[in-house]
Amino acid sequence: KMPPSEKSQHAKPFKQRKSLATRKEEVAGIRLKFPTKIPVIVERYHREKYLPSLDKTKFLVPQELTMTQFITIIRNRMSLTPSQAFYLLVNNSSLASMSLTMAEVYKDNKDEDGFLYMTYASQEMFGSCTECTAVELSKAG
Amino acid sequence: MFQRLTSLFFGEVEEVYKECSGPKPCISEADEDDWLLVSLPGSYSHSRGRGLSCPFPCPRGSTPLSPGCQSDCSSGFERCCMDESWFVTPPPCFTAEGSTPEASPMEDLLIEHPSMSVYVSTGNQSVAEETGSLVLQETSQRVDPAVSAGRALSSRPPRGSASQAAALAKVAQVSRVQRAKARSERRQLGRHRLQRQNRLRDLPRHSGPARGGFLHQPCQRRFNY
Repeated sequence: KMPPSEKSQHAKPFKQRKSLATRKEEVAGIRLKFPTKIPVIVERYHREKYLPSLDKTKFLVPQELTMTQFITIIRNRMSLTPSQAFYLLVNNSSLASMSLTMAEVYKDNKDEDGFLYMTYASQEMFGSCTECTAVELSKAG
Repeated sequence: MFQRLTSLFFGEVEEVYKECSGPKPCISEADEDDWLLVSLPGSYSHSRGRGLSCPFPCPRGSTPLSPGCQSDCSSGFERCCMDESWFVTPPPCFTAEGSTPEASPMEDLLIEHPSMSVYVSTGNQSVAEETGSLVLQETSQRVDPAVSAGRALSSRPPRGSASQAAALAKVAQVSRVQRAKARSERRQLGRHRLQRQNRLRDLPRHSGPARGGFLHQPCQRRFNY
């Protein structure tokens, strides 16, 4: 289903493929075109073995979208079954509460370049389980 | 560049349809730079200018999928955010009705006194066996042990003396009596069991409005002894 070029293309994280200036420009450009959307980069955790890689990593999401909805979108895009565990980590470090909107997550976690970075994995390996309910929710959803 | 080629080969439009047909916020691909555009059905109006916002791809295509897709896309926000997997979350075993405590009388028996339980039949069997062996002992006192053993093994009609015949008649009579006793015992147990079950059924009704459910359980167990 996935073209073979994808893997090599996304070997490096987005942040390392482009310079800060380029990324800033890109955010500025996309914000001009879509002023109401939040630019999110969703990448696979580099040691992830079970979850497939996404064909697209750049998402423009509405501000009022909740984390739950966003996770559902990504899960569906990877066509995961409900039993497959899926964690979405914000800024490579924490699990956001499922009830937060993307605008709220963006406000607190956006990168200096203006993107919101998220990493997904099948296991929660970053240790900061401040929101264990969020973990359960992401499993159920 | 290669991305664009592959999207040409693999059918970008079809992909959009697939995303669109689900009961969730729609995803479409923005024209430039591989951006995926996520739109909530209620809020597509202000993102209309560029790219493909939700309602656009459906009329654009000519695939038979489009009508269903459109209706899904334009449905309310509430429906969109509910994925089918969320409806499942209280598993059926929690919501299913009809699994009330009084489902099976055998279940009740299993937690009752052993003499009243489903093991009653096997218990009677052992009693019969016991009496049978007793009878054999009795006869072997009178009859030649070798002959009795042979008879026990082959169960052929006996031949021989009148005393043997008399003993045999007695054996048969005793065993018949024992069997009848066991049968009556069993019947009595059965009646007892019935009474018990009746009591189980009746009592919860007296104790206030029945609330059908697990709450009756302790109430029933009070009458277990």
